Amino acid sequence: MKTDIKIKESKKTVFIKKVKHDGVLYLMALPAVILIFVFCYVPMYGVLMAFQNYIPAKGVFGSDWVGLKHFISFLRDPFCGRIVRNTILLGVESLVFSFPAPIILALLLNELKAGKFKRVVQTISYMPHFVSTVIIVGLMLEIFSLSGIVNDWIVKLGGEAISFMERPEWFRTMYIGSGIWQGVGFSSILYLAAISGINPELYESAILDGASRWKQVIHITLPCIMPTISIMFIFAVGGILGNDMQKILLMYSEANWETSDVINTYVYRKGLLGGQYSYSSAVGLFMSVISFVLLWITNKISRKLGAESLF
Amino acid sequence: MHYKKSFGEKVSTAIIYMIIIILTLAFLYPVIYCLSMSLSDPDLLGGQPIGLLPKGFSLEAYRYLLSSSKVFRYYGNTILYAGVGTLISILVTSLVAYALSISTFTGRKVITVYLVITMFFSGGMVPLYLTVQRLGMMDTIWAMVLPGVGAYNVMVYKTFFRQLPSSLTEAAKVDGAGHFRILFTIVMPLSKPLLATMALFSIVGHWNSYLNAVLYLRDSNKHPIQMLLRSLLISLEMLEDKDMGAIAEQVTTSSRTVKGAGAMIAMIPILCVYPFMQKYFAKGVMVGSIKE
Repeated sequence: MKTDIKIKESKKTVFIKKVKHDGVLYLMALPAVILIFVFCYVPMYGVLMAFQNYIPAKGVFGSDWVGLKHFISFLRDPFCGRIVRNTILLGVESLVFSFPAPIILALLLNELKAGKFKRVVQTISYMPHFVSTVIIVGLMLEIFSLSGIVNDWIVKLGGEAISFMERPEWFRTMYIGSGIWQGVGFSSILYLAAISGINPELYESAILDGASRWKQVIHITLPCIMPTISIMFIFAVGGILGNDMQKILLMYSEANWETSDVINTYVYRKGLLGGQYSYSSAVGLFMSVISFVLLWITNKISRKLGAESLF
Repeated sequence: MHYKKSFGEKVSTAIIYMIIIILTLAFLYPVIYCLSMSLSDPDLLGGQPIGLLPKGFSLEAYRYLLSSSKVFRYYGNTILYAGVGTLISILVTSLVAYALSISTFTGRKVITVYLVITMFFSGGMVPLYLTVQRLGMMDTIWAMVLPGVGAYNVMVYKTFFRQLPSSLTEAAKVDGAGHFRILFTIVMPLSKPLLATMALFSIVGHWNSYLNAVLYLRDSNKHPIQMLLRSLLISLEMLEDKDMGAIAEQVTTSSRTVKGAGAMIAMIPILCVYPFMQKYFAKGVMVGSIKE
């Protein structure tokens, strides 16, 4: 018994000694721990205001609790249906069109002979990633305006000019199209890197077997980069409701609200412009919960199918 | 490998090259358009569409913008936020990632969990805004630079630090070097590709974002260049800022060439730098994709 206690004590002291020994390492972690605490954990705690009638002067401690009142009033809000529908449609359509694009580009680039041409093409394909959202939307307003170059051609070819940036039915096309332009090259880096890791012997033996180029892509390249694709897909599904708000805020106007108003912009308008902190936090929380559930479900399905999973 | 290319193979090669060339032109076109717009003669241009080349030639727009001291102030603000923000984020992230890369560190698990939680949950825009406000950071540089430290980057750094050869750090330890010295004199210099990539991403992020300025900076003297571009390029009904409103108003009455020139001035530094960083960021992106 006595020895037992002694061992326990000594274990404890050993642990304390270790912690003391690691003092410098704790010190190194401290700035990040503090910043994350202030800018991630404090706002997470602030989310409690979604269940309150938050009054800034009273703070989260002093405000009255109202339970699910704000969630219920969001579900009853006449805008609720439209906003949720817009968010989901925008997210799903983005996923359908934006997700495969860099994979296809990577497969195409992989077919080019290594050399200067390929390098130049790759460099150019990354460029849009480095152009700011403000400039992209500004140029879209120019190029797709009624007197812009696109409509110039449409009219020349006998069509009727379309005000792309104002029509609600064009909003998603414009948003997704510019998103692909912006991100496709840069996102292809990851897939190209995965492709370059494939064992070349696989291709050599396939060629000996007389496999065509197309068959090599289907039977070797795609299966080999599947792990990367599934991880990226899980992330993409998790982010399906988190659209690029910076861009939407620049693109949306009352003319195209019908399709461009999404949860994020609604939260921005109600919360930050309108000062309805509790209500907008509730709407934001509603979105985060759905996003997390989506991520979790996709991860689960991916694991069931025997593919990569996050956790 | 020597094997005869079939006719079909040749056709498919031609098609692939065609597609790639068309795509490349599509990537380039908007920027060429912008350049042509900025170099056009404002009187010839008017409201007409631009095809490829500038209509006439004039540097008037650049002269106009570069003669305005406000443009330099916005530019200077952007450089300040990008520079300070990047330095803080690299320093803080390297420090914590180094600690986490030491396998005997007792706090490793706890701190890792503490960080990873923030990758999946966040308070959202409104609570973050209220936090920044409560901290008295509105209208200060801190609102622009401090919230940038994220858990995801810590994981990327940690993975990279782990892959470094341990022989050098071991040797330094034998020589009696402390953790700080090992980090600053051995680990960080060895991690140049990673740090260069992360610096580039961080600078580009600061350079190109406007939303944080909309949220946290009321005082237009502190605004970054993207805010000026926003009022130049995108007519906004809620233009509270009179300074920029004045510049923007003159522009709509004068010409579109100033829009193009403004965009070019903001874009050029980044577009000149990124091609040289390419070999680094291809690697950097890969490190980030390794899961643990």
